[in-house]
Amino acid sequence: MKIKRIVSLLLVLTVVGSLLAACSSNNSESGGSSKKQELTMNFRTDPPALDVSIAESAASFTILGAVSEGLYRMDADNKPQPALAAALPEISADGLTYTIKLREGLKWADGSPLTAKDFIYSFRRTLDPATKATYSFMVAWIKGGNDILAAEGADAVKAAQDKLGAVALDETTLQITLEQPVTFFTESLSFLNFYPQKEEFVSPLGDTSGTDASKVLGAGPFVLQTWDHDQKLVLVKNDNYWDKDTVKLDKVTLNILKDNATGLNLYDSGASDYQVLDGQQYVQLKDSKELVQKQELTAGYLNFQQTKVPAFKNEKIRKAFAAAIDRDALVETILQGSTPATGFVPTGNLDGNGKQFREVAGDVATKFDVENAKKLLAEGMKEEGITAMPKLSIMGDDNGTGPKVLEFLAGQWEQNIGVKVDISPMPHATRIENELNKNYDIVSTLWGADYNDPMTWLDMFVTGSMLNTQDWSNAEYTKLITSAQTSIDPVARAADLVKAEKILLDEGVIAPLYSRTLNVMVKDKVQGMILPAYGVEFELKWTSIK
Amino acid sequence: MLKFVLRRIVYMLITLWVIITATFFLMKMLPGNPFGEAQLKMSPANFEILKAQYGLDKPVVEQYFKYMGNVLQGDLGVSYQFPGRSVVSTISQKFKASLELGFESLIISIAVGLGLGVYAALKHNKAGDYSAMFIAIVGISIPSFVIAPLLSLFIGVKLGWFPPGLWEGPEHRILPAIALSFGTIAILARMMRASMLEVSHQDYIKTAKSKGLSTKSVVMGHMIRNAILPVVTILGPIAVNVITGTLIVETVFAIPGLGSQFVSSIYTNDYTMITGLTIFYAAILVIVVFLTDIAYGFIDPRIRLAGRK
Repeated sequence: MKIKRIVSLLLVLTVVGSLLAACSSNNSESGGSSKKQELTMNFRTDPPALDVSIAESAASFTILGAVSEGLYRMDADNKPQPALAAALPEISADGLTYTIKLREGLKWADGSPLTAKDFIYSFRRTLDPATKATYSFMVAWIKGGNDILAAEGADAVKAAQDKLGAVALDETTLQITLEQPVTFFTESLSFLNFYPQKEEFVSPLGDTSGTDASKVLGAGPFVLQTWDHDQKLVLVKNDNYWDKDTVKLDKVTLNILKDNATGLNLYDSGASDYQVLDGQQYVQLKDSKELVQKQELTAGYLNFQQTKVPAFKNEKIRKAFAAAIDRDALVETILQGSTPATGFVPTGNLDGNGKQFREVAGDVATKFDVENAKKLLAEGMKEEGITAMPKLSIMGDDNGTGPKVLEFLAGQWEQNIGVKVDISPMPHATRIENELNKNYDIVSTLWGADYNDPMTWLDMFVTGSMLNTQDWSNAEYTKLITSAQTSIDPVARAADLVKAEKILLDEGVIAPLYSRTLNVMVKDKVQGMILPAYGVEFELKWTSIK
Repeated sequence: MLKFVLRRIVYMLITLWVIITATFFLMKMLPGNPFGEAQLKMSPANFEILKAQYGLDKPVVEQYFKYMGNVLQGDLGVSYQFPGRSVVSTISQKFKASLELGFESLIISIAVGLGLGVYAALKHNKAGDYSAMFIAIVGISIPSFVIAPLLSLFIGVKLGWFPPGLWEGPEHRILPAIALSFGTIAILARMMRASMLEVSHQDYIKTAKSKGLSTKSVVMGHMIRNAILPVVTILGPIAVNVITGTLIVETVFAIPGLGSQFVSSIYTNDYTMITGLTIFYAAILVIVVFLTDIAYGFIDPRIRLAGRK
């Protein structure tokens, strides 16, 4: 009898205790009070790896951008500001050699000195094939980079690394020589793969580098204090940061939340200050004062495979398919918040000459015009000597809005030009493999900028490129891109790239659909948070709580 | 008993081997590869080097034998999706949350489910019976992907009684455990009710009643003890199902468990993680079934495991 009572009492205490704890947690503002410089955010995914060389996702870029830093950091106006570098680089007349002076007295978060040799180690490690770095192609712009990537065996790699065109002239002077001019290289030096790495810290960790909080070392505004995988990351202010007085936040908690509805619930309950919205949530909240829209350098478009479907070799047929799509309706009904495409290079992308590419290039996408689409299809089919289009299917991702986009497009083609197209949604990894193997008729695909220059979009379609999966070839287009790749005249280069995009769309090689927009809810008290158009999801260095 | 145990262990190992082998080859039949965006950014030559470094350039049969060799040494490999993180450490980190959630849910399910079942049987064909079974039908009819968001929104946000998500203090455990219990409560309640009704017609119950035993003694000492046997038989698989079937609830309440990890592994073709998790889940299932058989023998003394001659 006594035992029963004790057990009952314990049960009651447990329930009451839980309720009290719950009430107290609801009453406290876990989102941070007005005095505390603490921020709580919902973060959509656990970063796969926080290793400078192998990071390849926006989640990893974002966290590494907070805990570390490159020679430059992009500001709110998308301009590179000296970060670990003391000033902008001295560039040789031929545009190949960059001499960069580091700030004096730089320190890693552990208090040890950071010198120019840490950059050299980082570049060499990223280029080593054994590191398996996805973004090594960017570091390979440095002279001798591709030789390292192609080297087989440790000795050959070491020999190639010793010849890399990046040297530490002294502890605070770095000299980088490029294989060929890259007009946007200064901006690229703010990108993650050009961050420094401390050899004494990274090397002993081997493959486990960047897998836990204790295995991440940076020289940025914050330190990764806690990383509970798939649960949360906690960043705290880095007292060894060269610009620590600018950093206002003391603590940032990033809770990993894959479910948007729960994320919004937490945001509404005051347990979070930041939440990304999906399409439906955006429609409900588009008039909210807390809504912030970030135009991403990510575009959705269609490829037409010309070998598998010979009819797509005909320019008129391709353009008929593009002209039959009402892009405004696509955005209004499915991709709420995104922007209908007016060209391939998305809005917000610079032209390499200080101007907005879209403003210079204008509206070059095929206009939605049902009558014109029918006319083009009829003429194209006549030219090809066919009376009906072959059986076609459109392939795309099976997650998020992917299947709905496929259904919309198939509906448009059937309704507007009388062509029935089967839809084939599939997992992202499968779609990519099929696309690269040219195993598709039409594919609904996405591309995100690796750097803010039209080249990241347009070099895909040169003859023989791995990413030119349509089997399209145009000598003039390839010539324009090749010329732009080696040009150091920004005006002529930008003009070449505008011409190239016009060829791409005049020939209907691809059908641009939309530029993606990220819709985010941010509490009013959060100030100075930058939402860059590419690379990282958000920039916290200048963020504060009012 | 010993012979039975040894025989069952051999069966378990064979079962596991079949599952590992089938999973390995089925997985290799999946289109795509585990490298995601890497193949878009790397040159074809470097991509081939990458595949070679993971041994994916070898024939599938050779890959299989190498993998089995590693498994026998307790090495389930390293995740492709999360470079540098071993499958074993990922499982050990994330299983804790799934196990805790599953255990809490199971406690609620057994207490409420068996209680409802007993109550319904004792009130057979009366309002109490119909009410209890109505609750059970509602529980089995509403899937967790409906009940979990509703609990998060109404109890978590509108009423503010418990946090709508995350996995921190004890107050964060309550809503997900309730969400996960609904279906199991219904199954246990219906099964317990049917079992109790069947037992109530047995001769030994009539004998017990005619001997003048109180209703409480008859119910507690004879009916429940015998009626619970078939329920115990399914408790093992139900426990495994609750512990491993937490995907939706884990995702909705942002719980760092194994369920969501399994699905994302399949989406990203993370070969080592898929196989590792399959082995882990299969091992749990066969071990629990084995333990259930043992428990069954203890509860019902008529059962002779080794079979006396």
